[in-house]
Amino acid sequence: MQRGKDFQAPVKLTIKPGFHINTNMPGDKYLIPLRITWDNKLVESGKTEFPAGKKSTFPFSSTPVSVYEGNVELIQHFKVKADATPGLSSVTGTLHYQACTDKECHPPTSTRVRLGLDLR
Amino acid sequence: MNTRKQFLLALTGGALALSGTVASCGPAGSKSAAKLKADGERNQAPDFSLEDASGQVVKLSDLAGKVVLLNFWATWCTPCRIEIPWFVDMERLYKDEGFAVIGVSMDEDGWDAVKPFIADFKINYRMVLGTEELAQLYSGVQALPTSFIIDRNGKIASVHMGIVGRDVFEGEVRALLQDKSSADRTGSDERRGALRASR
Repeated sequence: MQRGKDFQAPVKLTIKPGFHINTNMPGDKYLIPLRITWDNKLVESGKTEFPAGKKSTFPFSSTPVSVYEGNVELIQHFKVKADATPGLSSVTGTLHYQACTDKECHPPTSTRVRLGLDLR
Repeated sequence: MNTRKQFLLALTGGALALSGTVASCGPAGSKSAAKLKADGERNQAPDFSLEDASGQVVKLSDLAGKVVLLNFWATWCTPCRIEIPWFVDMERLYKDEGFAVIGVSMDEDGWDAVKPFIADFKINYRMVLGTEELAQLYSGVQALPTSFIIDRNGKIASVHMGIVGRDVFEGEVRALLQDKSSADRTGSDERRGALRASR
């Protein structure tokens, strides 16, 4: 990863069997979308590529909602800041999500994300 | 940090692993009582006093003598949203027989999230905003929805964590409504006093 250059990194999620989480665009105004935020000073974060979710239909709506199950890979675009110090470092972020099973839901929560960097 | 946020964090489910970490366990199983608890096995429902969407105080002990379905839910909870039309129907069908639904929203955004939902879903029963203290009092609230069916004596006759069928709720409520042994007015007054004293 070179200073001043763009790069992209995969963020791999493993959702426990039986659970699903909403995608970034769940398709229902009351559902909480998946979000990822980055707080590192070495890079500028760009767009996040979210794969298509599984369409699930529930009795409360004729419109399917979009969820993730199993293994999901997001692609995060970054640009290394021109004044970043070379060397091994990392970029950290926070993944915000809300999980349910078919029978019950857990409250919205977040988890930390850390990606290793080798800046040159 | 306010008490609502503390509650929500306390209920954080470890549904997600990052970067290929292998999940260690499956979902929490949905637990529900197969039938109403026997009279002697029922615990007193903890009393509470909270304002509803219109600012009116909802006090559980004021409902002594009624069968109450106390439903913990949130707007973002899809199984909760499946149950809510059932509760709207049940409130309408059984209200005059001494039945009441109370919704307890655990939405972090409070009335800003809940009031539009009440209008969208035409909710006809009383709604309050839950707190961590209330969730702790009702120790069975580990996920949403969680519903407590409370008999005319103010005792918890069944607990359902996770969605169950409408027939289950309706069967239990009807059975409790038909239990005339605890429906006398004198008893209700005594129970109201007992509930207040226990706060």
